[in-house]
Amino acid sequence: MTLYLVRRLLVFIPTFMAITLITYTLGFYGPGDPVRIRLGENWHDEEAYLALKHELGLDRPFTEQFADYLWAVLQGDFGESIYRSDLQVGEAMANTLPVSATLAFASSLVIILVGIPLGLIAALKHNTWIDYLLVSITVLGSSIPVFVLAPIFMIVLVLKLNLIDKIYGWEGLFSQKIIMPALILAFGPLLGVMRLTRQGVLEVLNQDYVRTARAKGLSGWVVAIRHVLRNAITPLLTNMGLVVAFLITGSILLESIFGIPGFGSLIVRSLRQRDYPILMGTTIIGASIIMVANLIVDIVYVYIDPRVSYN
Amino acid sequence: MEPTPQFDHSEKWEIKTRSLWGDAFRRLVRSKTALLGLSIFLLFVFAAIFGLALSPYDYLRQDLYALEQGPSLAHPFGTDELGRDFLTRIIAGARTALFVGVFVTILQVGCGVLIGATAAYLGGWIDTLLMWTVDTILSFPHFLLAVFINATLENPIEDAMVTLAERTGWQWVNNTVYIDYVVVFGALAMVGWGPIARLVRGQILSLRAQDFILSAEATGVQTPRIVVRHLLPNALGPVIVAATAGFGSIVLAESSLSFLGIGIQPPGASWGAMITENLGVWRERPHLVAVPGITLSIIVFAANFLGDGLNDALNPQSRH
Repeated sequence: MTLYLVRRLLVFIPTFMAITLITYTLGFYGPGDPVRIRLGENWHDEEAYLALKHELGLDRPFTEQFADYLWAVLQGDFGESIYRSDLQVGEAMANTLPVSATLAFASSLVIILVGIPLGLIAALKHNTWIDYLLVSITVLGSSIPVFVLAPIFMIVLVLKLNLIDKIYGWEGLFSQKIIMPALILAFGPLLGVMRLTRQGVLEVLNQDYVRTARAKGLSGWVVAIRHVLRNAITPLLTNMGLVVAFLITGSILLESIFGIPGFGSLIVRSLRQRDYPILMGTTIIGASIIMVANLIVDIVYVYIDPRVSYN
Repeated sequence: MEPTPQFDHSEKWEIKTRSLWGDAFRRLVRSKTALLGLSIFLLFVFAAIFGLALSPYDYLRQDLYALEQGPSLAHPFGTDELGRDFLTRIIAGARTALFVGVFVTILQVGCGVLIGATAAYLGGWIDTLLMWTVDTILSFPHFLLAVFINATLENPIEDAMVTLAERTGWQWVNNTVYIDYVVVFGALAMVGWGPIARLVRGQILSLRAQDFILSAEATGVQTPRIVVRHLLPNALGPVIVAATAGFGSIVLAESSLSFLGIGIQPPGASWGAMITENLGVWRERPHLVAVPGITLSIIVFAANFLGDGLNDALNPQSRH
């Protein structure tokens, strides 16, 4: 196990370096000249341009600049915004990530508390109208992106049903404003979790140990939760990485609709301003979050399912 | 004594052969969901190709006497804040979606097949390097990378196309809408070839070890014939399935990029951009945000159904 962990962490390092390299290359060759932007009104002053370029170290070869960037990133320094030299990219991300994490946490609660029970119900009522209804919702619903769901939820919940009135802004976890974005963000993964739970339960339901548990007189729900669900849930875990990726993508598309000052809004704002240092930082952090999530999944897997061993 | 009957070689004993594709098509249309997916998809393709010619309106023409109208007989989906007929805009959006979907699928499948086949045939460190590249690209959040590449490619591609227009005198190249298309093609193709490459590599490696390929080689069938008659038809099925399923997510990605304001720029028509444009008036004219969104979802959903149907039709074993 320790050996596996060490090996897994060692693979992490070249992948992280490759991600940083790809991001840096894109940032290096893509955008307009950061030096001219810094110069502002004096952008045509050739002497000042060369001086500033030298001062920023941008006249050095690519490899040297990349090594510097990588070294700085490893120490948590992602540079500063092109437009505001007082805005540290690392700081901007540290300020916005907790907001998105809170939103993702609220969504995860919805995903787990609604998705798993619904999947269990669909499987236990296999081939009845409840099952068919839930399966058709999964099939139809999973192709709807969050930026389509958002207006539809707004029209139905606010205009037609009048259930919620305040939808814009951010006031933390315990407020009415989080309900709508959390529900929308949870919708897609929830359907996926429901489908996987249903599949897992259906597979487990015919196993001998479930029959034994029933035969010795345990009630239906005890069997369902203690024996069936526990074993059916392992496939869910392998898809955790996908859910995390979905939540990150979702936050990019969703946060600016509802005016939530999170990681996604930071990405969209820096995208509109072509603020490359911020875009590079957020891309590297986004990729790292997914890599760490996958790593955690691999480790937790061993504890949940003792049949899996990594020797 | 009667003579032993001679075996009759006439045609009536021959089993009617069905081609692989005819068989697959028969299985495809037998599935109701696949047929539904196929019909919606064909309708979408028809609307995208001929819709703009059939519509009495131009998708770019602003009618200042018909601003912000509700749905009516003349304008089934009403008009937007610039007085453009919304149904025509939706159809123009379908053209964008089809265009991007088809081109990016071709690019992704082309790169994927080429790289996957290279990895499988050359093996060794090249294989390791290529597959590691695929893994690295896949460890990015797919959409975040597409967003980043899209933003990055914008300037270089615009410069390249303007230069191309000057050098060759092809003024049509120097058109912001085409430049947007090329940028979106590039970004989405660069992000999405990985899974296809991995699939093709796996297919070739596993097929080459199969008995029917070995026996074809053993009986002296020429290599080109093996590739065309045996390798390709068997490897093509999964690739077609993956490409169809990928089509939906490409259309979705294009709309998502345009929703963020970096894909197709106004006045070009994209369903994603239409949602952004009209999000400010969702309380007053909700249909302007609902219609593009629902259309997009239906197309993605039809592509997924068609992909599932093709999967069952081309890989009959996978059903069991």
